[in-house]
Amino acid sequence: MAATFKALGGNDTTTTRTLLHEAIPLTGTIVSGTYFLESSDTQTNIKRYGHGMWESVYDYPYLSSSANHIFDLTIGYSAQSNLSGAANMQNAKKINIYNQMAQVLVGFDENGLVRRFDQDGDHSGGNKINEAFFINYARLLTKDEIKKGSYNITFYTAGTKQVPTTPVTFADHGAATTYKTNSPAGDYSILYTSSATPRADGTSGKGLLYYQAGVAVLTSSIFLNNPFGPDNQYDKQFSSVRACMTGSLITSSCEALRNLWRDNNFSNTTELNSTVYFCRANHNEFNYSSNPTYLSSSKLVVKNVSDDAPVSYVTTIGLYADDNELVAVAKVSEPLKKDPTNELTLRVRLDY
Amino acid sequence: MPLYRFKSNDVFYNRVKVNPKQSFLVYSGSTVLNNFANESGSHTSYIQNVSGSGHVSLYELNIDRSSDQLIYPFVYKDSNRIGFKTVGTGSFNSDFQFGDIISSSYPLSASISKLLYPPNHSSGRITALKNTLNFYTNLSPAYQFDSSLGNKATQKLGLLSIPSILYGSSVKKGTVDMKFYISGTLVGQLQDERQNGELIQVGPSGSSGTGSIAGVVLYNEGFLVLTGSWDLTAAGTRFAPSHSETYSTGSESPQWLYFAQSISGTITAPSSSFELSYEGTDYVQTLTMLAHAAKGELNHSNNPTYVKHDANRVYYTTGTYGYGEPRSTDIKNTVSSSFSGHTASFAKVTYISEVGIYDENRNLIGLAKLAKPVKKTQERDYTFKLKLDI
Repeated sequence: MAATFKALGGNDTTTTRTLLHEAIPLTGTIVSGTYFLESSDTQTNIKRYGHGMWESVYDYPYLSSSANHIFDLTIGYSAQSNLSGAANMQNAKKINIYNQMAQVLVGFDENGLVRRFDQDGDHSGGNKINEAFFINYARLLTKDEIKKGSYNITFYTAGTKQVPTTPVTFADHGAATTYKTNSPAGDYSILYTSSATPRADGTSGKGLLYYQAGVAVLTSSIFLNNPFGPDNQYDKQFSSVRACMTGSLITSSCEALRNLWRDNNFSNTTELNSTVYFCRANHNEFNYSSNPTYLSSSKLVVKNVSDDAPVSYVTTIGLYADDNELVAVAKVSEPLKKDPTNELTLRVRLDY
Repeated sequence: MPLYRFKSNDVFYNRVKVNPKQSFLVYSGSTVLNNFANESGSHTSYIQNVSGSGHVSLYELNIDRSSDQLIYPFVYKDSNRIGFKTVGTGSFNSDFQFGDIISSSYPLSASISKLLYPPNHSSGRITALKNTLNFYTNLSPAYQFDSSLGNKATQKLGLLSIPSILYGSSVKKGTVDMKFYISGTLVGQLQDERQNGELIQVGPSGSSGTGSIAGVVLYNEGFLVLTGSWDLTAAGTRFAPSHSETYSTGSESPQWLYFAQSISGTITAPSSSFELSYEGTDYVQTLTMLAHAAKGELNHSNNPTYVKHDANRVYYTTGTYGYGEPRSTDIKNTVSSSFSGHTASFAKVTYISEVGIYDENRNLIGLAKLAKPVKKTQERDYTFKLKLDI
């Protein structure tokens, strides 16, 4: 152990930030079909609640301790939507869900009223997303935020229940460099069906993706001209997204959406903050050791001839607080030889 | 929303010491951790996507996923020069350009492992433990690397390694328990009953070698060094006649240094099974903060719903030369009357739903939410206890 301390100067310390990502694939086999229990006609990885306002999707039957919650799924529409009607099933709940999501993700206007989801995100008018599916991803998957420009989700939009066809992919094209910042919930961008330049009138958006909140908002109009319904209604003539959102339970619409889910991929981001300490041993420093094994019979064991230069082996760096309390220890993988002919700069990184 | 400064008695740190118990059952290439069954999934033979049920999976993310659908981590190579441990320095420097993606894989798993060293092995791995073993000689002479009890550099021994994720800071002294079964019959049991690292055979009664030291435990490092080489089914003891099967190269009698020898499956030892249990030690640092809501304070809210609703209300006026808000706005009286048709006397009532923690620069750095808002009147005071694991 060194008997002396060396103070770290302003040029010896710096902070860095590293972004760690994880690629998350969520295929249709996870969200529907795989864990179907025929005897009770239920999906064992889908948790439903007595209030019926949303359902939770797990990656494995949720009664297993191994299961991970991956997202919550729900629908809602604005009170100003054409779908809103007192005769609808769970009408108030669908409006409340829309308002709840909107006030958190879009915020309030200057009159204290909840803003609606805006198709182009500028809040200045234009088209609103009045009827929407909400996918609230678990923090386990999104970590600090969804990586901008990495999100895509694909739904089947035609065909039958047995043979769905016409997959359409929605993605946050261009969001790595261009995204919106006018949400109280953080950054978001618009989901498009292709990477082509969005239409100038702002009507090509199909949904919104909130990166830090981990929420995807998809307009229901993406299924406007296609069969849409839960298992027991899918192929029937009246099964449309409009009929399903008004005449069925929220969970029925969620089930219908899951049945059309083909694929979903995104990456998450975790910020790793580090402090880097550059510990410098100059040529005339740290060439001796107070280690008990450094001396034998009052002679340096690493020297053979008395006028040889002193030499030591650096194995450990201790970081001390102002009051000389040892607060951290860094070890090198193998001892480094230090003598007056060389200088060492050891880079100690502390992650937190 | 007012800000209050924590006083010296409002913030304190605790350390919770926990001792999670772990148990392993080893039999013929199979290891079971904490009696967790090997659950098969729809897409994988084992839902946790690790080698077997004896492994612990870091993050436990890839549950029942096929091999082409696994979640995996990646970073971009940049000036921070941070990569994954699986990418060596040479590969990091030569195989990746700045901006390239460096990826790794999940799940990361860990389990116990066993190595058997023959006589005169001179293994570097054992020699690396020399200083550590000698350091603990004050606990027991059995730790001594080279003594009259044997030279660990040359004697036949078994080394059972426990990864730190499975014990934390250290193995708790006095909790190590090892059982050796032959055809389901317990023929030997080791415990560190003296809590000094010595693994002493404590049973079963009448067994061969009871009371002898069969090895030592390195509590802080997670190693069990096994040197016991007596026949647990020796003639003249309760479990005679002597049993033999292949534990390393030939037909051998059951000995402690063969404990968990069948863990890899290379050796099957079909009559032998092994059980290991211990308690780890881990520390959880906890920050506790006491936030006080005193009487007569926190009785006003800036929430828009705190004031009486009025469809004709003018929230603000703006013009070329100014901006104005109404001089007064009625607060909604939420006090309920005990009498029908009467309005109760006005009282200032708020509902506290969350407590924010700010740093010295007034940046919001933490938020504690209540399960249900609590009613705050002028006469009531509250203390909210906020705990944060750090």
